[in-house]
Amino acid sequence: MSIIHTKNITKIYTETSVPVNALNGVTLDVEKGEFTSIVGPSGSGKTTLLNIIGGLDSPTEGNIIIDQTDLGTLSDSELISFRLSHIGFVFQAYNLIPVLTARENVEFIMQLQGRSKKECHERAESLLHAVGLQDRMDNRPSELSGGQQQRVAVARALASKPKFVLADEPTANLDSKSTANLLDIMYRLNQEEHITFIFSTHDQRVIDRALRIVTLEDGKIIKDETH
Amino acid sequence: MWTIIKISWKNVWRNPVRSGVVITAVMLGIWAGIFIVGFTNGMSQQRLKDQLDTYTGHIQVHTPAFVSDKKVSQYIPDGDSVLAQLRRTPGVVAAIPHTVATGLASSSTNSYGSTIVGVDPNAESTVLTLPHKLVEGNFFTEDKRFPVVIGKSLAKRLNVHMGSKIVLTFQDTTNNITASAFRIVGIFKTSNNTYDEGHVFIRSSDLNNLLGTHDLIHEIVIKTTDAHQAPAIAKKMQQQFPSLSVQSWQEVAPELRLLDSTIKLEIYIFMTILVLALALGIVNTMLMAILERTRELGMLMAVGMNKKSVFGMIVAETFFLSFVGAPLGIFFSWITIKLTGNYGINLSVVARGLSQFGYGSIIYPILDNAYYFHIALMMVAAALLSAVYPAIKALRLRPVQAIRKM
Repeated sequence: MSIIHTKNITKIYTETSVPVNALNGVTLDVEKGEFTSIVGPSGSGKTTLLNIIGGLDSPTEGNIIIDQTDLGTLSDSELISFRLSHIGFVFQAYNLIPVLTARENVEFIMQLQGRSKKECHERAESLLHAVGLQDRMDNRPSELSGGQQQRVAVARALASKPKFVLADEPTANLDSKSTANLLDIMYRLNQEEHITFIFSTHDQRVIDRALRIVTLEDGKIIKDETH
Repeated sequence: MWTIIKISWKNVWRNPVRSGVVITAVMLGIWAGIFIVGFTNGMSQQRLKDQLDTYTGHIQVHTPAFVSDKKVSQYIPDGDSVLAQLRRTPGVVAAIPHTVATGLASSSTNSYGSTIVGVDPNAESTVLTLPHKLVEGNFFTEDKRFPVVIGKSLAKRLNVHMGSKIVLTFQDTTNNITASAFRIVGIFKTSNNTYDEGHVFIRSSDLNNLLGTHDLIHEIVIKTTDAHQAPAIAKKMQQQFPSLSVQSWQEVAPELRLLDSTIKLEIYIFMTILVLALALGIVNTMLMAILERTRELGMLMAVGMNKKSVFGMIVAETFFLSFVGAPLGIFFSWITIKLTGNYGINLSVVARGLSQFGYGSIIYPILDNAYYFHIALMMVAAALLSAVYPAIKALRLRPVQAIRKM
């Protein structure tokens, strides 16, 4: 059973003087436990597809069904609540809250879910341990390297126990060593805890580690390979 | 909720210099604003008290005809009996009789129109403080023939001094002009030059002799236990003496009532303008903060922070910005008003100008505690108002666009 099912997704941006056809009839199914890369050149529609799957943007046409819920039927506030409980996000620029420590950044998502202080504390420690930051839990983002910040972002994405994690070019700002380290962690979480990861990337290092590669071009899926 | 408050507090200190400037501005604005209000209020309260104690008393009783015409023949019938009854009225501290004539005060060089007030020298100071405002001489304590106490300004106009003679001319009860020479035994100075120029005081026995009458009373001036209770006491007296005109100080001197009520209105208008100006500064700071944190706000909304929490976070930040400085400003203004209220602020360099408007030269700022509370409430309202626009701006962000904002 797919946890993500997109059916004939079309996205046309009309804000510009000339309408831009970002996605053109994309149909995609993602099963639980996949480690999938969405690849393609700039402007191919990778980020738009990820935003639509993540409920951050709505398609011009088509349906997106996540865990048997059609996102098109949800109101704005229902969508926010749905994202909190179903989807983990990892952003290209980390986007941690600079005034909170690594531990507080991870706990914050769980606090939004209304979990107990004890549970938040224990799970944050466990997740930061899993991403190798047990010694930097009480450091603020400004005291961490880019790679360490992105690992905190991964821990934060997993904190809400999401159905899947969407990562938009997660390695774009990282050096080779940090990239390898991050990919190792995500791969291990995928293999050991069956966490579903979907990346948008044009980083060959990420593509090489992906178990499924979906290639987009001009808003259409032109290739879908499983390794 | 606690998480939102914690993040908001930390966000305030994200840019310590900017927040510090805003907090200091709020503190100084509130401090200066409340102090100016206390200063103005102190001036007006002093003026009110000075006017009541020196000139009008709390209640005045006349015949209705005397109120409009001020003629010598319009005296209070059986005045002694009325005076005795008024002194026994509950709430009355003291009551004094005045015999009043309107005439001319003349020296060898000059003349000036004056109200000639005949007083009981022993009773006068139980209601009015004029006997304590002498700068020279005494208030009829020496047994001299036809003594007079005049104001310093009148002495200057008439070019006379202590011991000089002046002639008082006025109409008697039969409308004949009468005049007599008086020797100056005292010179007074109040904070009202106009009053000092226009009033002379002689013994009521002397005035009655010249008027050809005995114990004539035109005016009874009453001091009550509380000036603000005067209207209620006056109302009861009016019921007791329906043929007389019993007026509280608000009726005798409506400008004082206007001053009293206007100053309260001015306090609120002034503070509203000040608080709104401070609120605009806070709005500007919060808009800057939101502009800088667009990407972060987008991320928060993307990962599942609902609109209520985003709104609450911005409102809490605005409150923190307002309410770190405001209590400090209120506290410092309270201290400043208490200190200056005890020792006074000496404005003797502009004493003449102040005196022409009826103000003393030493100002004692004063402000009721209720005003501090109301100003704190105004700050709460201003903080709420200044939070709304930035919070709405934050809510209008679309996560998908905000995340990519550089």
